[in-house]
Amino acid sequence: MRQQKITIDPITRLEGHGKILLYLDEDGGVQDAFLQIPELRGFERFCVGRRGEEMPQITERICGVCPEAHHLASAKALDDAYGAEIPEAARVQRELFYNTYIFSDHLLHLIFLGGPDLLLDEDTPKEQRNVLGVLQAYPELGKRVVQVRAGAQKVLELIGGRAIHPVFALPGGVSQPVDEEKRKELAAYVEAMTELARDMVSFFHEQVLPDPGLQALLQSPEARLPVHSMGLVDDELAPNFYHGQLRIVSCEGEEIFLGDAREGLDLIEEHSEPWTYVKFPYLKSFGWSGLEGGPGSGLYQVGPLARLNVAERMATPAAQEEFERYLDYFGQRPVQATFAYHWARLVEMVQAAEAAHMLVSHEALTGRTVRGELSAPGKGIGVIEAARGTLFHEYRLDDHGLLEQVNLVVATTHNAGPIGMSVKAMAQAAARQGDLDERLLNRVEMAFRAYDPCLACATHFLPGELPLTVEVYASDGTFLRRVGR
Amino acid sequence: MERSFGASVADTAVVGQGNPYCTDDGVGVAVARRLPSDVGENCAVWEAAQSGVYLAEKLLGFSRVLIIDGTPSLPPGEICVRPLREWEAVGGDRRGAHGMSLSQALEMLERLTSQSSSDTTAQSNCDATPPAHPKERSVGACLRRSGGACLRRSGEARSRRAGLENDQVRIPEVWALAVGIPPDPPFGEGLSPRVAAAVEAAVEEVRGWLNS
Repeated sequence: MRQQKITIDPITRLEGHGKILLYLDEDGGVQDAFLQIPELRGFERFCVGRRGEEMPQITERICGVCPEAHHLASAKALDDAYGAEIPEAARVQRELFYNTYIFSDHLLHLIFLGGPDLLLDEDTPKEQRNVLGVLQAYPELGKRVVQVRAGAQKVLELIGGRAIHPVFALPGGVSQPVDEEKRKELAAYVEAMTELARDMVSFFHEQVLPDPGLQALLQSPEARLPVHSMGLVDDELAPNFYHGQLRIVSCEGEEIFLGDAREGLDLIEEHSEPWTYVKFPYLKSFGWSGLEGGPGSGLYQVGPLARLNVAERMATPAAQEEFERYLDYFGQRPVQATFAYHWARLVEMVQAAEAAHMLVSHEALTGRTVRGELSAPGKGIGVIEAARGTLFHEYRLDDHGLLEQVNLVVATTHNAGPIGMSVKAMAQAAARQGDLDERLLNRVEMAFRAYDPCLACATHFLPGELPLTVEVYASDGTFLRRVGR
Repeated sequence: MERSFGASVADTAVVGQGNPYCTDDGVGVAVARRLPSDVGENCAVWEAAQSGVYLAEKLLGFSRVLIIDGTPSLPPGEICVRPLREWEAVGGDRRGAHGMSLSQALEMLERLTSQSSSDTTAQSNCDATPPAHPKERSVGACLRRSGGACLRRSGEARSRRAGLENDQVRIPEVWALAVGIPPDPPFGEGLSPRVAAAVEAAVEEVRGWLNS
């Protein structure tokens, strides 16, 4: 095989988009695929020297997609840095807020972002193969989703203090208590969330899962990735989005780690490649063996599929029922089908809605003590499950509470290796079928979208898009064409 | 910062978009923060690092919205106000893998309002909903079988500002106030001199837009 010359088209962070580079072999097949995504190192350096308590408001600006996750991960890191024990009322507020965010984000992906893959046939004409096509096919469902998400957004605003970019979480707790009147208002919105979550399960099984196209994707050998899985679990080994122990399970289902989530950063190292700015995390104990899966590889994945792989059960009844159907379908654990991410997202959405339902009725929600005592500042690590996977915020504060060190490891960074591998496998499969344009783009996008990667870090220019582009190079490195939309 | 002036439910929103910790990218936020408290009756002033569907959903229910943002499409410091769709048209087809532009998201939501007549029927009798797609009939049936949670029930808990009263989704008229900025602004606070010099003029443009 001729040696490839790989050149990088730098992705500026401000473009906020991903680029996939495909290199063809001399027969026209796909030899390699590289996913380039933004990185956050500049942001971390920018934060050094600032006051620690600013971080929940600053870090949520780096991501227009999941500010809620950064807000609470940051607050948790500061809780730890100040040695604070947060009051029960504050914990319940945070968890209600956070489960509502997970529900809302997963719902958006299931219908609008991943909807074209999940709800439309692959042979749907490209001009209809988008969210508008989904709405044309399912107008009633689409409208109801918008309504219920509007209610969920109201929950986030009522607790978070703002419609956009929450301000409620502080080191040691939250800014204000929830009174009974507000609790009742929250409960009405949460009720609609739980109803829709249950209905979505029925809809999925009756209308989505039986589709032969989806069945083919779920069973596709190109869309199976044998990598390890990471996620937070509670004491019963059920997923917990807000808090818990970190669990890592191998691609063969063996427990690799179960313990304090703050130790997670000690378990991973990051590998650099010359063709991208993003670092590839891998499990230190396995070492780096390239972008390859298998039991000997250190690569791992995070997010809904990974969280269900590290879980032994779900935390709520309806989610548990759906989890059992999910496991019955695949027949073995851990589930390695990339497109199972969508189904896993549904299972988690149900748990989040049910959890929010329980939390809004929790007697501690209206407690008046919402901030704990702070001790002298030091080092703190906040770990949380963003919708897209495990999110670490690590801060070191000096004696005056100023940041000396900031380290963020975000979900899409964890998944950078697996995403690239999935994209390559799907591109190779599409190339074998001889269509390097529309089918390739569809397949690549579908593999990419299954992870729901967040490339929206930092900023949005006008016109505010998040494009994915694919560039195709010949075996001699000559640029052939760019496919994008 | 988030302010609302006038009545408790604002009719107009001014959204400073961008990242205030990313130098000139934060010019929209800088303009929003410079707006005086008497900027207008019934006007909400927001900051947002969000776009696409994430922002569009929050704009439902307003009549008019002005998005203030930086753009490298203009020379640094130059200002232009025009309908958002015209700005986005400059970028060609923008349907991306993950998200969509703000006007695309609003278009998506607007499409839903076109279903209002059939949805009204659905409120009173879910069985009577005329399906727009062969699968849609089954969706309604599925929802009924699984507990009867039709649109009317889910709609009981909806936000007034979300504009979903009576299942009508009110889509705002959205304009963009674009301020030219250099490409690739670095992390940091504060604006470059040419962009900073444009802030006061942008504030005046906002006043003019509010009074138009």
